[in-house]
Amino acid sequence: MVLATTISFLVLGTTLGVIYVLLSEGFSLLYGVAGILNGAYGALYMVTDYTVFALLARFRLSAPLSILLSLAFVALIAGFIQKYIAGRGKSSLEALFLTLAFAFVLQYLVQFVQCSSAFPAFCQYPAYVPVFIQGSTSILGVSVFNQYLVADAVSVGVLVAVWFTLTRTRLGRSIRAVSQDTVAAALVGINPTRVVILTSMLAAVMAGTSSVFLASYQTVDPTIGWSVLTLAFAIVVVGGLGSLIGTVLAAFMFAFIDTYVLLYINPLLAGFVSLILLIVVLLVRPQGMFGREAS
Amino acid sequence: MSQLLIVKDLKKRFGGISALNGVSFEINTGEFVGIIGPNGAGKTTFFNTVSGSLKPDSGKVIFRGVDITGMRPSAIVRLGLARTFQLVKPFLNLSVLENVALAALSRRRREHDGLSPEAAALEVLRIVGLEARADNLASKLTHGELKRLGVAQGLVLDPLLLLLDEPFGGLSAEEISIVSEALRERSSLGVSFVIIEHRVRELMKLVSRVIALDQGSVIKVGTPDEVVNDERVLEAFLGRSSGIARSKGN
Amino acid sequence: MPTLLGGVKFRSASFYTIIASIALLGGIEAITHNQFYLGVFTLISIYGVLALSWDVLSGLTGYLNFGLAFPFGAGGYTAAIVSTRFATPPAVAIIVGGLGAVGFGLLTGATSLRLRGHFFIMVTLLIPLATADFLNYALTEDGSIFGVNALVNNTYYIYNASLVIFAVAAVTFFAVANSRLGLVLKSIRENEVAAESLGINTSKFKMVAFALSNLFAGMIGAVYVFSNGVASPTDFGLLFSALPVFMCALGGMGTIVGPIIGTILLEGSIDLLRVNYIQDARLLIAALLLLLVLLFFPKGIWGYIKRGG
Repeated sequence: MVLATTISFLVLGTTLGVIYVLLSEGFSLLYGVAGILNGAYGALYMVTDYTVFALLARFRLSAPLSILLSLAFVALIAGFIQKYIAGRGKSSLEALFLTLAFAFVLQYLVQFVQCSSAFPAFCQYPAYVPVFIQGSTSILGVSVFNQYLVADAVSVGVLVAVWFTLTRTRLGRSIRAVSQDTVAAALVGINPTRVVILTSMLAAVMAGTSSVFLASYQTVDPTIGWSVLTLAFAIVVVGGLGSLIGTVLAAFMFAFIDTYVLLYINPLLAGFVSLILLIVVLLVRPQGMFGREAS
Repeated sequence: MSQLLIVKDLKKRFGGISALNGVSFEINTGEFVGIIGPNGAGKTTFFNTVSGSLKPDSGKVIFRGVDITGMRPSAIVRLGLARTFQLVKPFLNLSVLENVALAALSRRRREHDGLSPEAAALEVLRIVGLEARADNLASKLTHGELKRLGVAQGLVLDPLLLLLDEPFGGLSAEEISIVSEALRERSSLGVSFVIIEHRVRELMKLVSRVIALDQGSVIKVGTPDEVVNDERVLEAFLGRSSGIARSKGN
Repeated sequence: MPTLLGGVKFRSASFYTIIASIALLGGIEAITHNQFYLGVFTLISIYGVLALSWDVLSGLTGYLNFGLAFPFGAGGYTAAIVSTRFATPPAVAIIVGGLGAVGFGLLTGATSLRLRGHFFIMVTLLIPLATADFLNYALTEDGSIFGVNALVNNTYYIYNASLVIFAVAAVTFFAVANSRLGLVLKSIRENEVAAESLGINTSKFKMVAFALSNLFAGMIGAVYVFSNGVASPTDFGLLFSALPVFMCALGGMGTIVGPIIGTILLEGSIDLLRVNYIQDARLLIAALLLLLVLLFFPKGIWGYIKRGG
């Protein structure tokens, strides 16, 4: 029996881990390139959820179409944020501030649209995204939802696509150049502003993709953005800002910890455990596992 | 003469670079010592490890018999060891007077001189010739005035040992003379100084002993004449615009 | 320390604003007995205290605390415990609440104040959220403490308590901001490394500002709990952390007038826009207002006025 639960833990932890990787890499990518922590990242995740819900439930579009449209929509919002909001901040702190403010705007906007006297019809729909890939498969004797498996496949696919873009395309090279040295990149003819905007759109797609599949298993709530933001931030910090490998390892670490707490302790404690881990890391080794040492 | 500062085998690496390679020496009470060396020799890193801004990888710093290695900077200041910065770090949105008054809060004499921090600050501003600018914002100062502000902050702390990192950099001849005079006056009162300077001619007029650093190691210690004429020192400086070659042919 | 609190200038715009706002808030009580308006102005006092508490730490030192809900909630829970377990009179419980917030704050401050910039923001953001989670887990009855009934229907007591705490907070922070202590805190914002090199123990002073901030946030949190009759995990909610920040940003950080103006405007609009369709959108409108001000008046309204005038 112990073996079964251990395998269960490993399998579930891994499936969750893959999605966490996608989620945190988006945040990390944006931080590496834009040099700012985007406070609206969690809100983008939340907006994707709601858009998928709206398209699926109200407009009755098919799942793939809803997802694609939602991702496109969120990418546009991210570009807007980067260009007109975050980009207006004169320092990275100011940009963080502005994006946090915008995250609130998004949250209250969604709350307003979802249920208010202006849109009375909407209130009748409790927001939930139905499971759109049915059934479950047995892996190593553990029953895993097919939606999770597809989510993992898609996540891996997206990550591979991102990796390919970063290493093989011109855009990817521009992104890496800007993340290393904005001024030098500008000097060789790259437009850093444009690159940052495109990167933010890419990051939004990554966040959105992870939200799409997790939505069916979470309560969809305008405030979930904040737990997502803090999770992404915690993973990136623990893994080490600027380290791709660190982020992957940290993502799995958090996934396993969350799964463990969820299965064996108490779901309510998950956030608390993440916080403790984050604080310990920040005190003991602020550059994270693989980050560059701060001078 | 007692040993005010003892530095033993200080080592500090930044990634692959060894900034300090086992630096050792002593400063005695009342001495006026100069440190010279080409860029990257480790001079500022040395100041940083002594003043507490950086923790050395190994080695010891002993000040007035107390092991201050790794102590926080503000505690070291309160023991009587202060430093100024090569790139001055003023409080830009505060006035010149406030900038110095903040330092005056921690001056060693604060319980004995019966002055308010602002009054003590004004005194020192007069010495460096900045009293007319007391109410201006620090952001409005010229480079030379900013440097003098840094020196004022160091002096008002009333330290027993003051480390000055390139205090003459970018100053006019008149400003240099004002600052030199201020330092000489303090020195005559028994305060010890260690100065890093590239403007060697001005340095030699003030100091009784010179330490030459290169690539994190001490390559020569001696009187100004001895150091300036030393083969290894000249080799380290050859081709660099530090003025040694020029002052040799003086 | 006497040196540190010296040099306070009493004749200035800040001082008059304080007098005016206290008069305004106090005057409302004389004018109306309408429970709704009393409630609104109580909320304005409460948020005013939170905004001022935020500003004394973050506006002065530059450490942007996004977790003010922690001392707010901690103060509330402390007061709830002493009130329900030991039948302490409300006034005492409120003060104990403030002290409790300071005590818990020593833990959170010691860990978080070592962090700079972004890290400080994110960790402080997380702390109250994680605390709420923990309480939901650790305490039965939804993580709440019920039965804090001493003042439940006593609107006047609550109103006056809020007003008194607001007045004391405003005067205290005025004194701090204009004294040498305020100068020391500002030096930390301007250049922490330089301040440390000039003999200022920055860790100690950050903790002092943090403790002051927590004291008043804790006391007003206790008042809030008394007005609700219950201490619940929602007291650690994001709104109590974020709104004070935005009120200060709106009004102008690092000043006394700023938080007061910001609070009156933001909380005023949130509470008074209860007009039909606009009512549900009031939080949205407030958030938009905030965003626009941050974009176009980065120094806040008071900062803009000072610069121009």
